[in-house]
Amino acid sequence: MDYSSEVARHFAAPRHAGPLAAGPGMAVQGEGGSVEQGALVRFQLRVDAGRVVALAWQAWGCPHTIAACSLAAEMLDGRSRAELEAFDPLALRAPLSVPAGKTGRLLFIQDALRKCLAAWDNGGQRTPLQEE
Amino acid sequence: MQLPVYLDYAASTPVDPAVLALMTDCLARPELAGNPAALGHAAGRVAQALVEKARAQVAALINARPDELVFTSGATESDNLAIIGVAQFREARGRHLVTALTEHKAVIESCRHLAARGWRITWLRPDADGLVAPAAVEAALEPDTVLVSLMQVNNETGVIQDIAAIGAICRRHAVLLHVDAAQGAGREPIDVRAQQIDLLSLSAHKLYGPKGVGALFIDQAHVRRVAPLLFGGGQERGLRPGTLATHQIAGMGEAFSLAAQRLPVEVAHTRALRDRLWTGLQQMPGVLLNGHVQQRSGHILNVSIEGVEGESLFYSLGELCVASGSACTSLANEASPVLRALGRSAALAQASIRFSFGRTTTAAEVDFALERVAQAVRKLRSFSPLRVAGG
Repeated sequence: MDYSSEVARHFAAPRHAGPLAAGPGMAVQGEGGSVEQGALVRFQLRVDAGRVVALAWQAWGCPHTIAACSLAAEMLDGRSRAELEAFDPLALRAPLSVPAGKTGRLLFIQDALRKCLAAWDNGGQRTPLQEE
Repeated sequence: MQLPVYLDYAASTPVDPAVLALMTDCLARPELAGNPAALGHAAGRVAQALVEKARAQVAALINARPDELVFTSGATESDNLAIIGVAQFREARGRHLVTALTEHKAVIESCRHLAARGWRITWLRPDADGLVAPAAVEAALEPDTVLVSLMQVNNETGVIQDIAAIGAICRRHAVLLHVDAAQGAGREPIDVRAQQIDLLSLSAHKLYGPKGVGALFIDQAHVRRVAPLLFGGGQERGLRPGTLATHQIAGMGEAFSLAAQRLPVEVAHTRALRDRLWTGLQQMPGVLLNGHVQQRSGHILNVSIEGVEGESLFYSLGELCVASGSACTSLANEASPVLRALGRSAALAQASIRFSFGRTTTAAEVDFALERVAQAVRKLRSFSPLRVAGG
């Protein structure tokens, strides 16, 4: 399969990849997809004063999935809760040239972020997230 | 070391220089340009002599008689001719065949073609090591079974079936045995008499010969006839009509002759490289061998890697030419059915790599592959949400 130069760029040097580093404040986490569905995505956010102050993601998936996580993280770093809620992962499809058959992978990111928002509303986790 | 590093010899091999020289002669020299069927003039007879010499060379590798070989376009056509040709010719005797889920697509699809037309197929499932038990073959035979089709060396895992034991069973029950030896011939010893094989498919390009030519061995004592799939000028005893491609057939003969001479040396060479790579890969946690640890060919190593996704793994390998179980990197639209039949999960079947080695593969190339795979796995696991035991 051919990948766009943007996918190649993010795959070569993914931004915010790996578990969220320990730190102060409230941390939230959400997952989308599964191995059986072809991709598993986990986002972890550290939030403070209504904004995302740090974020990280982990993914088991194809290069498009990894590039999409990387690009989404790049776009969401420092954003407000409202901006996070308004974020549409399907907007990643064009810049990454995600083929139609893989659009579902982007929805996994949306599922993960929605779970992060729900956790945020529920008070999240006060202690730093640790790598499992 | 030249990049890319080619470790996909099970898919195809480069044409040997001696083979290329002979083929070039056949194509370029007017005195060799005759039609092998045009026996009325010298050029035709020279071409026919080239074809017959090649037939003898190919036959010698498998201990057959030259007149028991039919040249085809490759092992896929040979498999089709063997399976469909036997089934159609012996239709009055029975409409049941036995094969395995781990066979090559050419066998699987030939059987499916027959199944869609009323034949019954028993699909044997191998054990977790990829082996089909001879007893399972015997148990699958029915009064109207006309053919068993099982491969010598599996093209994905390198697992070697016990063809001699299966051949003895088939002969005892008067059922024909077809063996797809595209992957094994010239890499593992094969003897159609000792192993009681009735039909055997061969390919030239797996053995440093040209693409587009193969052969089917048909035991004259036990099979006698199969129904042709093509119709035309009567070449190859009417079983495979069409003008014989002298240059390709001569190339195949030369390649098989060289393979016969080099077999012991090449087996030792590829086995050493395979073991070197497997020893290195085992230093990483979560690397699983696909196929039996002993009963496998020296030129193939197939592993699944936990905690990484197949397509990303394959993409990470860059200038390393290997085969992948990832659906997105092959013509198939599903994870390897062969590995799934061995009980691997879809994820592990996807995250598989088949390394295959040839006569020019070096230890430095194997070390490059090891380092490239280790780098890719380290990177992908660094942000994988899946945990690997010991990782």
